[in-house]
Amino acid sequence: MWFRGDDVASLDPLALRRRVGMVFQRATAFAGSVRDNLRVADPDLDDDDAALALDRADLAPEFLDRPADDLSGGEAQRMCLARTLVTAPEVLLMDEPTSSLDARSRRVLEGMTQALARDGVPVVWVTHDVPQARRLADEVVVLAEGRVGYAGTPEGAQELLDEG
Amino acid sequence: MRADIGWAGLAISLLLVAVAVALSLWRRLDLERSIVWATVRALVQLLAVGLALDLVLDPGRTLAWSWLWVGTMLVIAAAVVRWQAREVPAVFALALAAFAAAAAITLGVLFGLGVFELEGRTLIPLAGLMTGNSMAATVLVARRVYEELRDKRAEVEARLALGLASVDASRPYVRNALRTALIPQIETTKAVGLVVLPGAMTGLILAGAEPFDAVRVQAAVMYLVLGSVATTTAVVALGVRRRLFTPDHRLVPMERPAEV
Repeated sequence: MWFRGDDVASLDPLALRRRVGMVFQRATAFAGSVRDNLRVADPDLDDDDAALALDRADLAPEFLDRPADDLSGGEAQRMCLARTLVTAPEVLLMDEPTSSLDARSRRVLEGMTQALARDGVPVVWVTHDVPQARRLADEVVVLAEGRVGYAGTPEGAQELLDEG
Repeated sequence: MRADIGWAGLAISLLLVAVAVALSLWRRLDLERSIVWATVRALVQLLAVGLALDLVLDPGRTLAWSWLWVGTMLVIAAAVVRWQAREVPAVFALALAAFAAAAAITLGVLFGLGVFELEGRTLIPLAGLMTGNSMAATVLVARRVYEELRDKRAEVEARLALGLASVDASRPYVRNALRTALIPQIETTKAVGLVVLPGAMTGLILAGAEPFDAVRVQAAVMYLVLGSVATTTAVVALGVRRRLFTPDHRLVPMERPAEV
């Protein structure tokens, strides 16, 4: 596997993990406030930069003092995205990030991700939701039984799936 | 008061076992056989140890036998930890290293700085107190580190995904485990003399020592135990953590015990 021209096996794994940000299927909040959570990614993070990261995840600065355990599912997932953005990743890998969210939170997260992509942060979004892939993706890779079954436009992927 | 109670005194003390058996019969606890078996077994074990100590502590015997005794104790203590924390990988080797480190530090201070004179009569009891009192905390910390990292896998992996090294990603969970293992010993040390009269001091007073002499020995023993518990738990906690991560900072798979 290669990343920006380098074999990932040859890269420092810790540096690579900061270059490729990851958002998981289930939001995982750490103990403490939202500020504490963001400072896990960067212990020297000041409140201005923390508020900026929250803003990119569509959360108000007031969230900094909120206990992370008290956030709703959608808020927690957006906090996790903000936490990942603190590391200034070159690429975002999002593993079914909306699968446990309600429709409104899903739309918010999708909109934020599109904004990030427009800002120049490529996003690899894993999903089983074909309409969602069509809404978000510029390019689609379909994996079937561990192999690449298709790579191309979202429309092409839809046609392939319709053909069965 | 004499320390030697004689065989007659020992026989009379068995009356207290009879009280326990009578209570079991009266309340139909069905524990009589267990009580008698435990009593006989303890007596046989103690007599065997007494016989062996008599041989090892003979004034003409070289100190090497006492060191051999201590080494055997450390191996048995590590085997007990292995038995009680079976799910933890490589726990025997870690516990053995921990007990050896604790022995080197605590006995090194007590004998190296001349707190006690180095002879079999001091070496074996002090090493026994050190290992005996450290075992429970060592088992506890090994299991807690393993369980914390297994049960909080999602959190640990989220920290790793942020680029944290395994040492940093696991720090809160290892710290919790260490606090859980150390706090009971600290509380016991604080309560000593207020709630219970500790064993070494009681034994010395029963043997005819002056109370203040006994207190000084007991205080040194308590500090020995505290230092030993801190050492064994730290070595085991850090060792278990090291075993649970790969060199490229990934948490290894850990199995949950089967539901009963």
